[in-house]
Amino acid sequence: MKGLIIKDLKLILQNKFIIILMVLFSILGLIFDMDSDFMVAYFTICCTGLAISTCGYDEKNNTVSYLMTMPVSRREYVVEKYFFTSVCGFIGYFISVLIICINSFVFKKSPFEFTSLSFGIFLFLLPSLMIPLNIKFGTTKGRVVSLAVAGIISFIIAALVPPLIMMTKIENVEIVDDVTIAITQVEIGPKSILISAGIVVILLAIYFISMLLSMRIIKHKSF
Amino acid sequence: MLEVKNVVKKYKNFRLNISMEVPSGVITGLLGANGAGKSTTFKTILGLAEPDEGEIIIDGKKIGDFTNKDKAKIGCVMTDSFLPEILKVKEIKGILKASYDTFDEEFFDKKIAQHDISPDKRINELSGGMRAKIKMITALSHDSKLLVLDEPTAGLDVVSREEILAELREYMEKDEERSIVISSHISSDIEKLCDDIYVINNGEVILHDDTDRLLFEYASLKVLDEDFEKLDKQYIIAHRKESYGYECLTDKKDYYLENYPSMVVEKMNLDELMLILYKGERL
Repeated sequence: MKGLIIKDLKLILQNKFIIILMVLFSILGLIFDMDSDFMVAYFTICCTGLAISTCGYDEKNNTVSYLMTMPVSRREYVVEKYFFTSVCGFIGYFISVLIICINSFVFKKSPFEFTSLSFGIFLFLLPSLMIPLNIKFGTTKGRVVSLAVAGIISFIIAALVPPLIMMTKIENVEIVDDVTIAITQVEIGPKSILISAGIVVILLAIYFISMLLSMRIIKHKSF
Repeated sequence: MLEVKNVVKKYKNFRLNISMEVPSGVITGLLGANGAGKSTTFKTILGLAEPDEGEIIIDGKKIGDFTNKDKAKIGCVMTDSFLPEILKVKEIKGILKASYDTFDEEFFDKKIAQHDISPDKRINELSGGMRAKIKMITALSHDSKLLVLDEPTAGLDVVSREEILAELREYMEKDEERSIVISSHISSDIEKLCDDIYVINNGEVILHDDTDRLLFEYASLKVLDEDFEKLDKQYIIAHRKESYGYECLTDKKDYYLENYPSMVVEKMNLDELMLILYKGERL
């Protein structure tokens, strides 16, 4: 596992341009008080994406195949990919939150936007979607399939949400409104905390199901 | 050390059906044309492809039951696969050091210096020869008991090939428990290095014998058309039609020398032997 982490760390350090760009955005974010939604989304997606890009390097020289001949089990390879991606994504998320906190509480620029924190869903969603697809189809096909999956999910949401809202309104159930409020409202109340916690639990469940799926895919894969 | 017992691996247009044994202290060669099944055999040995039938036992343990510690005892070189080539040699060393408890850093440093490989160079900046050497040094650097080498000398000049073969001889001299299974298109490399050789074709072993026997007891018989029918074929393995008559492959050269004194009996190298096995009709 330690060897895999070192490998992935060395690999993401190859993307010097993206890392320099992120440092630049951090400085710009502090100077110009950039939009907090953009900051959190950008840093989280960028760091998670950088970590997921190591799958591409692994594929390029058939490195996965070579790694499987080393003292690394297939299960460990999957666990490391999720662990590494999450840690990288969390570092990006933490840096961006730190920048908007400094802007809000130290420099007293714009008020702290709690809604920006919701972009942390990328920490769970990106690896959950991309890692199993990369393992199953490889990075090129995986990217195409992930776009297709994202399209299908968007279509389902677009098709299901309006009737769901209508239905909840008819039955006088306010859950959809509560979720919307939990995501969008600035004030933190017990209801919004509960719903946010519910969302985190669902995201964690998706994350672990995805990890189990990846383990299943790699278990029977021929290299 | 290595037992491949009735292993069957099925693909859409290919079926591997192979049994082989590599005892401790022995270097075994695998010869075969492109697509004969050499790489598939290596992949099943390394646990990269799960066999549909049969079993692979290394050092008394089934490959399916291997722990990471067991895997560390196997070193490998594969033609199309290695650690990311965008990384520098010293970064590769860091990965190996963190992965293998038995990694010999001093050996690694000594060998890269000996072969003039700069630790600051990326793998993809190295020449083909250097790249092959770094793959070999990697396989040798963690005190493995079994080396599985798929075409380690492919595309190399004679000097680089000889240096790699020298490394393998040095590896075998350290310990009598060590074994190597190696494939190569360059039959002279196999000839010089291996104790025994398996020839495979269409996923099956078509010949297995000691290298010395293959080189000194096997021979090519040049038989005229009119003599072919009368020829005692009990020691003929394969034959093929030629302009003068038939060329026959025998594993009992002396028998034909004694019983057919007028017959042309020629020693063969492995390429010639492979050719008659592949192109000829087997008996």
